[in-house]
Amino acid sequence: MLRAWKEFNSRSGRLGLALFGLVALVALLAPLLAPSDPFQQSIVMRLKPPSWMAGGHENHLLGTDQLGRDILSRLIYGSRISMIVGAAAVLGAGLLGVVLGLLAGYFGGRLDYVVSLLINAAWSFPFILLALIIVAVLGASLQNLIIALIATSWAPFARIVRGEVVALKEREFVAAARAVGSRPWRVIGGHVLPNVASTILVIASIEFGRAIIRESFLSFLGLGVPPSIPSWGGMLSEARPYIFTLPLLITMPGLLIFLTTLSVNLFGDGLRDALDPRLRNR
Amino acid sequence: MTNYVLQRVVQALIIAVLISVTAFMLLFVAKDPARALAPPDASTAEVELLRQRFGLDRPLPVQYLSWAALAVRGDFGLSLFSRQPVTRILSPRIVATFQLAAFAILLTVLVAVPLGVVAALRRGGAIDLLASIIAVAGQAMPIFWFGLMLIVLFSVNLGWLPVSGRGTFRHLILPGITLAFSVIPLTMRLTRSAMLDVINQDYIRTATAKGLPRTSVIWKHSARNAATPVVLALGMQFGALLGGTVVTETVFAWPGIGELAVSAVTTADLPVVQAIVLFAAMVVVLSNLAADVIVGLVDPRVRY
Repeated sequence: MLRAWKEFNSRSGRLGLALFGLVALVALLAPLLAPSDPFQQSIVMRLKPPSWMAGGHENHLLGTDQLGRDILSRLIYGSRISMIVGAAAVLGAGLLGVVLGLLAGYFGGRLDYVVSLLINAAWSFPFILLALIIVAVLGASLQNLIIALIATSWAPFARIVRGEVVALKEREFVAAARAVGSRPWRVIGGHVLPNVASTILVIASIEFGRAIIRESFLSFLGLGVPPSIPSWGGMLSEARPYIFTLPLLITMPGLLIFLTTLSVNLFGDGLRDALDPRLRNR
Repeated sequence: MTNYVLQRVVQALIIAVLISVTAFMLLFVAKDPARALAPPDASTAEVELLRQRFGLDRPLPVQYLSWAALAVRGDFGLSLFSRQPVTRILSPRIVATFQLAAFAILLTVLVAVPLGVVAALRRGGAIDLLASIIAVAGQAMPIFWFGLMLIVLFSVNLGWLPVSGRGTFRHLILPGITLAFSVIPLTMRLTRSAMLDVINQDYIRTATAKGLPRTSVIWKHSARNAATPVVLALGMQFGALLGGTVVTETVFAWPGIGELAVSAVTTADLPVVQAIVLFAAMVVVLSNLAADVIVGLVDPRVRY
């Protein structure tokens, strides 16, 4: 891992990490950075264009929404939801997927058959439809949204970890550890897991981006984060009726979703290249 | 070969049953369908009456089996809201979605395959750079926002194309591009890497050394061998494509399965949701199966 970090020298990878760090910092410091209260409504200040355009107001740099709330402040607070949802989904799905993949790959047999079948079933079903049903059934809340995202993103972790473990099991150092009588959990924890850690990190970076996009779409449909909490997807949904009059309203939140996802993907790509130079330029 | 196909078919069947059971149970466990069926001010007795009339008081496995027995014959019952047979609601939707998906697949093949091939042949060139930009951007792009931006650009600002709905070919263009964009990046990437694998093989060097024309080497010897993973990838992406139709149809108000799925889920129209879930799962399972079998036919190495 340390060697890999030293080789993490791709320019786009570093750019991605920097950009992602910036978004994370904004999310962390939102109350300090936001110029005004993101919940403050004002009837006279409704649907103002950005301050540099005709009709804009100096207090609202990027304008206001249909309830007169400050767009910039809501964008800043919205980053929190994306970060929380991305992190929670990746942690939950990663834990579930890695444990299932490790167990299936290491022990094989009937357990492997069942897990593989589950992976294939999860793989062959449209993610969005599954997430839609889960949220609709459990109700729209932040917690249920995260459950839906975990349910739709554990399979890649499980599939790839399982494959790696199956291959690793045949290697001498794992066979040796088993031959000297180490218990299964020791072999898995001490010899197998460290060798799949880098792969897990790469999948996590991809799934983080996917979770952000899926969250925004569910919020866009009104099935994600409750409208009371500022989120980029929710802002897109609220801006939709004004696509003809204030297209900028619908441009900005989407651009941030795109850039945040892009940053974490670039970071993941750089990481993958550093960990496995053979994959470079593929 | 027969064995290989049989093995795949059995696996596909198990997965289809697994998905239908999960979807069925999930919906029943969380919401009370009898309560959803009744008007909001209905008394408990009235709700119970509805429960009995629709057979919702029977044990879940029994309900599943009776539902499945009718479903395999194409009977999904009546919609809880419009009171029409689900099949009658579904069939025009399937046609609309099929039209959209076919157009998107056509666009994908026309754009992603040539781009991937050229990117591999001229590695490091301008096309390769363009292809990698599309690949990276495509992976990070929220498809529904991409569609909204197309509307802003081509419908609102330029006024060239309709904002939403279905009707003429002009209605098909923006949703088609949006849906295609959800599968183009991965398809292109896979085409490129499959092509790279092939052109570094010895037999390609031999073909070139023999003095065969370059076009013959590229299209007859290379592209044909690179086609296997691409076909497989297209088949495997049917799930993503179906998910993409949910997104695309919602944004463009395209009256297909995806848009129906969203409205049926939000109104808890159970029979419709179940039919869509089963339909989607079957399409995905069958397309994966088809891709597996086609690859097995084309490439004898995968049979085992």
